[in-house]
Amino acid sequence: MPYNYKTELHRYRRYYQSIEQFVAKPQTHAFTTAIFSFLAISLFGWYAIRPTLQTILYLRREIDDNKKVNQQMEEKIGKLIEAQSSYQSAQDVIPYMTQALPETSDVLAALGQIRNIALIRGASISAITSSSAPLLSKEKSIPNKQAALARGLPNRIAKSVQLSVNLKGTYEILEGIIKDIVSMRRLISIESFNITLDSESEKQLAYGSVPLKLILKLNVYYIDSE
Amino acid sequence: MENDRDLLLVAVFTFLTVFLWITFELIKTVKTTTVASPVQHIVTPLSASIDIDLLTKLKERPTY
Repeated sequence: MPYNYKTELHRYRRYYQSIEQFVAKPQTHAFTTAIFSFLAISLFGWYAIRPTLQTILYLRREIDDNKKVNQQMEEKIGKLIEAQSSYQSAQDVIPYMTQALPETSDVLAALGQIRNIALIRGASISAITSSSAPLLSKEKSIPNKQAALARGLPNRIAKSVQLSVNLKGTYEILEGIIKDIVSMRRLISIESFNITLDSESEKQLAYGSVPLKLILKLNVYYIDSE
Repeated sequence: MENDRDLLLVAVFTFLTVFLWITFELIKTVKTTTVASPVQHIVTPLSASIDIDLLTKLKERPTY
């Protein structure tokens, strides 16, 4: 049977009376007010105050950052103008830098120079090997320059290719070759060298010159981007 | 009475949690830079001087 509130309300009268007494207590009033105040502040703080303050602080930070970036850009533009004038004044000597540190590994040119040194000094080359080296620099091997620029400016670092050269000659000749290699324009460092008596050409001992075998391990440097 | 006190404590801790959360979010907003990484890379300082002595020394070195 459905509940009729007009006729059967009296059944719940005592419950309403107890709630009325409970609500009428001043302590309950105070607690309820405090609880709802804290909850309301929390709710409005999260959904209204936080986004507003965040937007204000973000915009202020953006203004400060943009001012700093603008100042740094102006400084950089000044420096670039200075660099351009320095570059123009040093334009005739800058190609030497490219010869010393080329933008590709250019191993063949380095090998050619070592062979020429050996020929000039009168030594014979019995073997010459090179570790694997890229023929093109990374910048040149990237087909789309726009995509490369979008990724930002590349860091340019010096890399090296290892060469191994076996030479034969007298001590004076081999010493001269090492000096020439160290002092040539192309930057090459000697990682290790090993001098042994050349057992194959013992006949020359009779003429007073001791034939030696030199095994050189060299690092040939070039510039590449990371 | 006990029930009221518990509810009040829950409300107070909720308020404190939300307050601290908001504070840390705002601190994070203030500390985080708005400059994009490529722009930071572009504005790095540049030295405009070219070492002419070094290039002259390179010029003096022989090639074979």
